[in-house]
Amino acid sequence: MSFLGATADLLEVARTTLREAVLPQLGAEGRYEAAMIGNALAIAARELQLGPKARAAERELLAAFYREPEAPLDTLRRHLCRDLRAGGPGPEREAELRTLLRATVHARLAISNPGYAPPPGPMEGGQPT
Amino acid sequence: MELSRERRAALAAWLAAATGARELAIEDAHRLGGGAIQDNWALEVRGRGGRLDGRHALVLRTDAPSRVAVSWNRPQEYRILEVAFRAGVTVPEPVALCEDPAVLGQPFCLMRRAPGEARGYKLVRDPKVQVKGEALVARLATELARLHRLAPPVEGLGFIPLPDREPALWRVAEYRRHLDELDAAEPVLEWALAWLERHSPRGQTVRLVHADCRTGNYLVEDGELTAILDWEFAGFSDPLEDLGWMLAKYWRFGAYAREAGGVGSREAFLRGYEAATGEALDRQAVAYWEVMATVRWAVIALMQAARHYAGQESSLELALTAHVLPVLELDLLTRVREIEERGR
Repeated sequence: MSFLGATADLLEVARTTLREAVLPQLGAEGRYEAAMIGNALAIAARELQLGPKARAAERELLAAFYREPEAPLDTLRRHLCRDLRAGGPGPEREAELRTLLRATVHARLAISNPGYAPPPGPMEGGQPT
Repeated sequence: MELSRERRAALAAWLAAATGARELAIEDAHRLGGGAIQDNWALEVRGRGGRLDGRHALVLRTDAPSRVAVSWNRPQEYRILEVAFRAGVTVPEPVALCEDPAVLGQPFCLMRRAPGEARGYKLVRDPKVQVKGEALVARLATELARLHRLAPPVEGLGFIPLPDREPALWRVAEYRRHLDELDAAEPVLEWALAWLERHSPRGQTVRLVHADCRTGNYLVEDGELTAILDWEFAGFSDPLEDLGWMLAKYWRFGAYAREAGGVGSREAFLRGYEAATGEALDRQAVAYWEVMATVRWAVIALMQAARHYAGQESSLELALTAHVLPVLELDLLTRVREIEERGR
């Protein structure tokens, strides 16, 4: 492999350097900004690792929900938003919809803020058994 | 904004005239950490004669380069602050408003500087706040009840629009409009808005509300409230909107067990409100407005992130705000399920 493609590793070492070499030297002033930079690097690294898979999984769920196997994610998301705005998709699909939304949110959380909630168990949003 | 030597001199001259001082000196000025929307300065001022005779600690507040569309500008916020002050709400005393951009390059206002700490992550860990938290949230509720006595029309606040339907449905329409303006396709937010539309509570009223009263936006000294800040989102809406905002999980700064802002219990807060108004609260309607609060913050977070990503204002802080969205989405799914299972 080429070292030029090792972006995840590059972000990780940038974050370690920030934490170990830069942060200890900062006064109160720059600490907040440095913490934000560290957070941004961590999000970018997780996005690199998990983002494509998370979006593919969301697309699959939405495609199955609407029985549109080939539709792209953005089209499906807009379809669902329009549907919800118009009072759909209806009470008989509410449980299925919430399971879908919860799975999507957990996938997004795993990138944006993995410390916020434990991953869901086999039951919808429930404790792992 | 920078306070250059020339600007300080212009400010001193203007303030002397505005307060009737024979002489007035700005002895110190330093920038205060503050919101993403305003630019705040702490001033030490010494006047001879007039309203600011002697030494006074003030805050100067201007607009940051760009604002969120839903927030009022400085002159409007100042009018609201004056109304709240006259109504007996614990706020920084308004001192002067300058609408002439010639003085500092933009309008600004001045108020007395109240002592204390506002930062949420500090307050929820403060031992004095932990001891006095129940009284603190009851006091906040009393202050909100005092504000909520004001029903429209309120003199000086004619610029604030009135809901054209029930406040909850009016908010739902407003947030949908913001999502459309952002061209945002956010299924969880749309799902929550549809739920809010279907469950709009009975018996809504219209009062003056703060609309951003939460931990981080009030000052506390020795565990006691010294001032409620940040009136730039105030409006006419259902008073329960303020209670829901204070109780929303996000604003507990990690102290999740203390449901009122991470500093006190839900019941201490709601009983404090009931004691001040003499009326029982509908706990289910309060829970409804918590869901509304979470949607509101998600929409504002998207608007703030858009300021960065649309190239209006490059800012890491604004860019990272987009990443609070999944947290709020999980809160929405969880809170709605709780309300359906427990009734509140």
